[in-house]
Amino acid sequence: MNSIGYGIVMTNNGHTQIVRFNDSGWANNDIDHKSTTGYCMFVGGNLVSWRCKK
Amino acid sequence: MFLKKLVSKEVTSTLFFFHLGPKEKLVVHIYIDDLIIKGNNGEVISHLKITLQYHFPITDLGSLKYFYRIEMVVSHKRLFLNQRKYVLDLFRGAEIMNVKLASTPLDSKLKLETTSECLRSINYYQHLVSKLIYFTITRPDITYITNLVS
Repeated sequence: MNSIGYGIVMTNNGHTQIVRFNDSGWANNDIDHKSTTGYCMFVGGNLVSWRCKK
Repeated sequence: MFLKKLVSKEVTSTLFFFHLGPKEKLVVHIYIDDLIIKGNNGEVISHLKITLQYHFPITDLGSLKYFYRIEMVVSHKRLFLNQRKYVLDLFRGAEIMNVKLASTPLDSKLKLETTSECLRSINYYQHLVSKLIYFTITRPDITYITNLVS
């Protein structure tokens, strides 16, 4: 499947509500026992910020 | 001067907000010698462009299509951001044009080990990873794998 053309769509949903989803794994790496955290944030129903960090 | 009449609320040194009325806004974003003008009053935007063209040699490139290596397409009142050209250039630069494309870039059961042979050129690897990090701007689906390889 060709995913090169994938992207982000921004739509005017008539509001600017901020919603954020978060998750993290405490020392979840089997080798170095480092933690991983991740989040994604929506403004007005549009994805504007996300991160995944070990 | 038109520019001075506008009262700006500076957010960063490159982003300027102008509140023209209760619902009228004008945003000017400056990047080196490029300007992006955005607002909900077409007349004010035209006026600003004419004023700028009077004071500086400026080329109006029309509606925003390509900036920061991100393609922008507006259709049906929706804005679509995409980095197709960026990733194709990345593939060309890394000489990996003829690879198989996968819908899921990472096996969920994958276990990485640290005992195998070291990379020959760490700089080249880091260069590719930095490109991938920038690619996540429009591709949240590769955020996890990018974090894993970085």
